Amino acid sequence: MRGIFRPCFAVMLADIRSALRYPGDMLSGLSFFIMITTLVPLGLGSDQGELARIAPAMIWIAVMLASLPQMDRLFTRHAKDGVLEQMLVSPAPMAMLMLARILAAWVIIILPLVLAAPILGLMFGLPVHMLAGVLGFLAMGGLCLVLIGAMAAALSLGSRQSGIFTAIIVLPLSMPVLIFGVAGISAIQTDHAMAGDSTGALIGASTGHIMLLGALTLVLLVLSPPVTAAAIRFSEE
Amino acid sequence: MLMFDYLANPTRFRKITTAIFPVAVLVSAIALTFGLYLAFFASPADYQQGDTVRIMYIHVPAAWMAMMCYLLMALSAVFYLVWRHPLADIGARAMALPGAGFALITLLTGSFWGRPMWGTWWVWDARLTSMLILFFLYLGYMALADGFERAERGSKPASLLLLVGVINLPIIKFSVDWWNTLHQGSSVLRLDGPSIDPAMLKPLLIMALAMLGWFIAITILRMNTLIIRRRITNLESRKSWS
Repeated sequence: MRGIFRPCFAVMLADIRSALRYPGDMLSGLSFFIMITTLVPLGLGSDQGELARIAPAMIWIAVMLASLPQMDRLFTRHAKDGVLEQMLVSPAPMAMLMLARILAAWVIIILPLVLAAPILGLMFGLPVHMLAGVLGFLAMGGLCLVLIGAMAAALSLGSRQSGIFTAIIVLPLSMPVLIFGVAGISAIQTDHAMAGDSTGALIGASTGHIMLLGALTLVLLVLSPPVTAAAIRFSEE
Repeated sequence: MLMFDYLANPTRFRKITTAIFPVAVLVSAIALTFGLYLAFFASPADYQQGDTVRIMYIHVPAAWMAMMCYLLMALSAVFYLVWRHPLADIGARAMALPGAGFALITLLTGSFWGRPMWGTWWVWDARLTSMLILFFLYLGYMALADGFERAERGSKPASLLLLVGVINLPIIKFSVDWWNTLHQGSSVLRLDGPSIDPAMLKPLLIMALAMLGWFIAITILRMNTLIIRRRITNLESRKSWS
């Protein structure tokens, strides 16, 4: 068993290390994320109630958009320098290596955005008791996004306009993530109001949404690495 | 499998499909004339929806076709990925555009129906959204399949994308049962038999036949065009080498 996991850890560590070597790339994704969300109140007006209402949706859409360009580049460098080819000929199963790379991508691409999200939430007038929920939903939904993004990036690897293709593939497939993610965060508010009543339900609506999102994550955890591996194999043929 | 092997020869495929083509066109033309007549003149108006129910005779068959077409493309993708038959790939590519057209017709006619009935062009409920995703999947497939310098290079990733998108089909079908939506539930394909009135079921099925015939004809036409086009590119590349 250890024989399978060792190369996976190595891939994960190598990816994270090489990303840390260029912190500017991570920062540019983060600043893109913050800039998208900054545009919304400028366009919509600064009515605090209105902004707090749309804040979950806006943060989610900003995460999806800000992670797209980085996910598109997930494999391009290693397709050029032959690392992907070496991974294919290595005895370690390609799908596991891809899973390792996807988890590393979650740390590199999604984690900075997730950590910045509560601050943005406060700027948009979300109540403090919702921020933990925002973190949780974004962290789990973000994993779904990289799982989908890795598939899309691998499928469009080597195409004429891989950036736009990745977007066309990722966005429709990640719509369920957006739906459950936003509904879940918004439900925290109603759960909180219900808990104030003595009649509050034991399991809140947000719990249901996080379970659905969790189920989606599990399905994608099984589906995405083999599809990504197969797509990489096609691109190297 | 045997039948597929038999058809896999492009010359034989061409011969057989040129025989099927006029039949499909004829069936489609007759069914369309008859079906449209029934749908617009010789069927009763709904007691609640009035004459707008006639939109259904286009809307529902188009939705069936859009889903069936995607399923056929996904099956072709399996054949292509497992047995590497180039014809399976050509079939999927040929079906993509008509499939996207059917999805678009479904969305548009649904919208025209929704305006007088629901009072809105569009609602963001599960059935409508999943159908919209199907339309996007068609667009994504077409973009990816044609997105590479060498035409055949896009075949495998695009086939893989088709397989991933199959998840959407049961979501469309059961969205009206799983979620409480504005879209009405199924009234034809039900376990307890159709709940729709026979006077309305008949034009509906005839219109479905018309669309099926048209779809078969256009797919044959497009497949043969793609085969010829592929042959031309092969000849051209050979010429440029010599």
